[in-house]
Formats: sequence, structure tokens, C-alpha cells
Amino acid sequence: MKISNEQKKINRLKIIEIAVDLIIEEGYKSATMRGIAKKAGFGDATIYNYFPTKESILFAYYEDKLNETIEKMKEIKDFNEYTINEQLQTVFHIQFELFLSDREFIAITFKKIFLTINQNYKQIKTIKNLFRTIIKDIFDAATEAEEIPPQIFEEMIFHLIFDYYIGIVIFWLNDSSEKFNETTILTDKSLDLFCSVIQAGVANKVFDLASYFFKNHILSRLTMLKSHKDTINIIKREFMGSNNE
Amino acid sequence: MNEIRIPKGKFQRTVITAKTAGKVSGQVLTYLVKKPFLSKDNNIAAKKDLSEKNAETIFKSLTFLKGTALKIAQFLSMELEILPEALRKELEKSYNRVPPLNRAIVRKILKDVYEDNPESVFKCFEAKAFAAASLGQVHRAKTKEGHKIALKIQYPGIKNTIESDLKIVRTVVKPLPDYAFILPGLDEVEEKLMEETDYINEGKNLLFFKHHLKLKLIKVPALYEKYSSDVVIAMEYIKGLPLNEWIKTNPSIEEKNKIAESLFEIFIRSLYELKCIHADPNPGNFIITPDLKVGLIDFGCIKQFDPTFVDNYQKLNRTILRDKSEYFSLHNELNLFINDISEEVKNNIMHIMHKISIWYGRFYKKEWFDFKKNKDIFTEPQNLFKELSKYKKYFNSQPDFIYLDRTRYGLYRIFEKMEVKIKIRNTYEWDE
Repeated sequence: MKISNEQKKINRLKIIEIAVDLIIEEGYKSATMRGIAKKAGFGDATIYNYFPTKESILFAYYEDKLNETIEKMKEIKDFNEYTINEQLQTVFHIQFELFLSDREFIAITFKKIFLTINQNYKQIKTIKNLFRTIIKDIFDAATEAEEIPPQIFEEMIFHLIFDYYIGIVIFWLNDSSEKFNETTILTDKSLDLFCSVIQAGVANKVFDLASYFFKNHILSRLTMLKSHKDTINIIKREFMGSNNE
Repeated sequence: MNEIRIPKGKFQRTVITAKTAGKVSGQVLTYLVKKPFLSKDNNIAAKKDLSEKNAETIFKSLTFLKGTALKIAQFLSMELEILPEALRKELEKSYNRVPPLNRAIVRKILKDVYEDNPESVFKCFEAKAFAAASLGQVHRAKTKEGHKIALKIQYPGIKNTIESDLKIVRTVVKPLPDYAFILPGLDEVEEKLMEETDYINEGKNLLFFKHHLKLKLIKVPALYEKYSSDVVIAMEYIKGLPLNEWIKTNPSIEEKNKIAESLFEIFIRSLYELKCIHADPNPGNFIITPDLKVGLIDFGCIKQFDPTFVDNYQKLNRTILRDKSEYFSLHNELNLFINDISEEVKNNIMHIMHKISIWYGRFYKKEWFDFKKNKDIFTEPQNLFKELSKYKKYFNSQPDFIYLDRTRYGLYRIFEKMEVKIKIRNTYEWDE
């Protein structure tokens, strides 16, 4: 029986949902593909049409949440009027909103996915790229509005923000304050600082400074090498000579 | 993004404080070094100078911090005459000019409360605040039914920071010569601040005033309980200007007199009929409507009095210009002094208090009191109060008195700035 794409989407979502529940109830190890399939009302084999491994369900979950974040951001009417700081903060707030009902699931799976080295590099890359798209959009808009100067180390900054994201989620998982206020305050404070650094173009200036030192360093090495011309020549000769032998 | 950044974390707060403490100690040190070389008169002047400089330093640091510190700065400026006039003016500006919470956080708070986006809850919602409140900020919104409302939103995590803020302030004020005098006040500030963070309680206060203070000249906004929680309070939007802004629009003297009279009537009626006053006479808390009514908008700081206390206070006011001996015997009834007090000390205190009462009586001397013509009235008793504070250890703690006096005094200072002429004599405190 051929099933429609629409039905496929629904089934896929259903599997993720059930996996989340099962992992919360039984733990990651005890939740099996077979168990998930059974609870979802699929045949033992059918589930593999959707997900090749249990792990891939987790990746799909985190990917979905990022996609939902994008949708939610679009719903905010005056989002384009927000400052870069406000936009970045909103990304985090929406993520946590979406994570909240599955908090236990996140606690079990987040570190497993993002902090251990595994073979699923490719799948992490998908999530990372999606995250990068969100951040890049925000940066591009801010650059266009001349809120921030163009960033030389843009790629590095995106990596940094992704690592920051992982850190903040872990902080949130350990946050026991009322309404996770501590996380809100931390995000606010750190992004505030981060954005002022970006705005001031500190990274760019550091690059200028570094390249100045680098050039100087290379030049001085070169002059040093010149004064040892003879030595180098001897080495060269010997080296060549030995090669000839 | 160009707005002034307010340090939000404890780390940054502590850094700022460390700076302040360093500065204060430095100034005390300078004074101590200078001390042996100063004559006695110069010494007193130098000490006063020191106190003012310190106040200035502390104040400058405090306004770097949001919310609680602003309250403490207000308290320091009101309770103690240690802030120079210029600074007091600066402070006044800051009442309504606290750098705003960013829109991302505002959204988050509202989403937590309503479990839905503010755009879906309201017909429209302004993400930018239009006014600052001491522990939060105020946004305009329109309900789906089309009612204009004002949403006061509390800074997140403020309860946790109040404690750490006060710890910092307690450390910072230690080098001040008035340290012992300030300390008990800070405990009280902490308690009141904690009370103010409870917006549900504030909603109850609002309803109490709305139902009981039936005066034509005031406007107490309606409460929208549906949209209120412990960190968000929704009330009817009152069109108009805060008192300090309104004064800048150069209203006529008649208009000013009318507003001042209303403010005074609100105070007197609340005190003697409700035994409960709006104890935060900050000009930003009064909204002057286009039809010259006074809108009350902040019910965070409410003080309830014991009826016997109010009775005694009333008697005190009634005897003030009439009978010296009765006035003194009333003081005995008020349980003002500790038991272990010699007659001599008591007489000294009474002597000062009598002088203060004569000063205080000036407000009642004529039917109308002209604040413009009596500018000196606030500088006159300062030495008396200073003298009295030397005997502070002989007094029982009287928080009710402090609150009442502070409110009344705050109100009079507002009248002084408005340069109005009003009747301080009133049916509760004066027999014709």
C-alpha cells in the first residue's frame, strides 16, 4: 500500500513523539526501536522506513525544534525591528519554550548528542547548519541595517554561538530557579556582552592586531634567515649532496 | 542599542560596588589624614563635606543598577538630608527613566504568564515600554474588547537580587558617618521592597483604594485581573502626564493649586478614614489627567496603620499650636522613649521637640500656606533634626511614625517645587 507524503509526515512525527515519551519513561537504553514501533502501532520493520537508527530519531527531534523556532520567529510581527541582541535572545527563549514540555527528554539526550564524539557527525552537521542559517540571517540583517560592522571571522563566530547554545541548554537543564529566571538572566547578560563586542568590531580589531604581529613576526624571521644565509646554504648543499649519493 | 547598559548580573554589580567601596574608603582616609590639621569648625565642615561626597559616590553607583538600587537611592535621598540638591534633581529624573528591559525578555515574561504570544492575547501590544516603574516597566496594550490598558512588567529574578543588592549597599554605607542611622532603615527598605515585588498584593491594594477612597478628584484605574499575575499587573490606562512632567508644561497657578489640594486631600482622607496611606509620594506615581484629576497608579507601597496610632497622631496635630503641656503629655502616652531614660535627657529631647513643633505649626498658622513665600521652611529644621538624632538611642523604634512623616514630608516637598498655596488646615487636624 502506497502512503501519501502527508501521511508519511504524520507518521514520522508520531514516531518522534512516542520515542520522546518512551525515552522519558524508560530511559534511552531501555527504549527500543521495537518498543517505539509497537507503541506507535507500526510493524517492527515499518519504523525503519522512517529512521534507520534510534539515534536518528533524536537528531530528527532537535532538527524539528529548530525548524519550529524559525516558524515561531516569523510569527512575531515586529521581529525585524528588534536589535540583534533581542533577536538572538528570542531564538533562545523560543527554543526553551519548545523544549519545556520535553525537558526530561532533553536532559537524557542532549549531552549524548551534542557532547559525545560519535559517528553521526553528518547528522550533527545538519543541525549545526540549520542553526547557522538562523544566526546568519540575524547577522546579515544587522549588518545590512549597519547595526554591526561586517565581521571578518563570521564563520568562527557562528561556531562560537553554536557552542554557546549547547552551553546555555545545559545551564538551563540544571537551572532550578523559578521560571528558569537564572537562564533568562544569564542569556541576557552574556548576549549583551557578546553583542557589544560584535558591535565594537573587537573581533575585527583583534584580527588587525594579529595580522600586524604575524607580518612583523614573519618579516623578522625572514631577516634572521638572511643572516644565516651561509648556514642554510651548507645545510642545503649537504642535503642535496646526500641526496645525490 | 545605544541605550545605557544596566549591569544585570551579580558579578558586574559587585565590581561596581567594589569600585564604590574603594572610593568611599579613600575619601574617609583623606579626611582622617587631614583631621589633625583642621580646626574644630573646619572639622565639622569637612565631615559634612565628606558625607556629601560619599553620598554622591554611592548614588552614582546605585543608579547603575536597576530596580532595588533605585529604590534605595530614593530612600537615601528622602530619609537623609545628605544628598546635595543637584543630585536630588538628577535622582528625580531617574524615577521615570530607567533603561528598559529588552523586547525579547518582555515577550518571554508575558509568554510565561499567558502561555501565549502577547499579540494573540491582546488586540495590540507595544513592545517598547512607555514608562519605568521602580521594579519594572510599563507597556501600553489594548484588549480584544478594545480597552486601553497599562501593563506593568516586573524585571525577572528581582526577588533574588534584592537580597544581594542590599548586602552590597550595607557594605558600601559602612564608611559613612551616618552608618548606624542608616542601617535600620535599610532593613525596612528590604522588607518593603519584597512586599512590592508581589503584584498580586498590589492588585489587592488597588482594589481597596478603588472601593474605599471615593473622591471626585481622583481616578483609581480599574484592575484587569484576567491579565494580571505575580509579575504582571494590568490596569486601565489613564491618559495624562506624570506630575513632574505636567509641571513642565507650565500649568497656571490655579491649576497647580487645585492639583496640590487634591494630593493633600487624598493623603488626609486616606490617613484618617482608611487608616491606610499611599506611602510613596514620588511625582512619577501621580498622573494628572486632562480634566485635572489625579490618577493613582502605583500601589506597591501602601502603609496600614493601627487606629490608635492614627488617633494619637491626630491629637498631636490638634494640640500642636495650642497647649504645650498637653502636647508633652501626649508624647508620654505615645510610648516614644525607652524606659531607661533620665529626666534630664528627656527634658533635653522635649526642648528640641518643642522647637520642632513650633516649626511644624507654621504650616497651620494661617488659613492658607504659601509654599512659594516660605521657601526657607525646609532648611530651618534641619539642625533641629540633627540635634534630635543625637538622642536616637533613647527612642523606641517607631516605623509607623517614620512612614507617615516621610510621606507627609515628601508631599510637602512636592508642593514646595510646585510653588503652590493651599490649605494645610483641614477638618481632621484643625478646629476653626
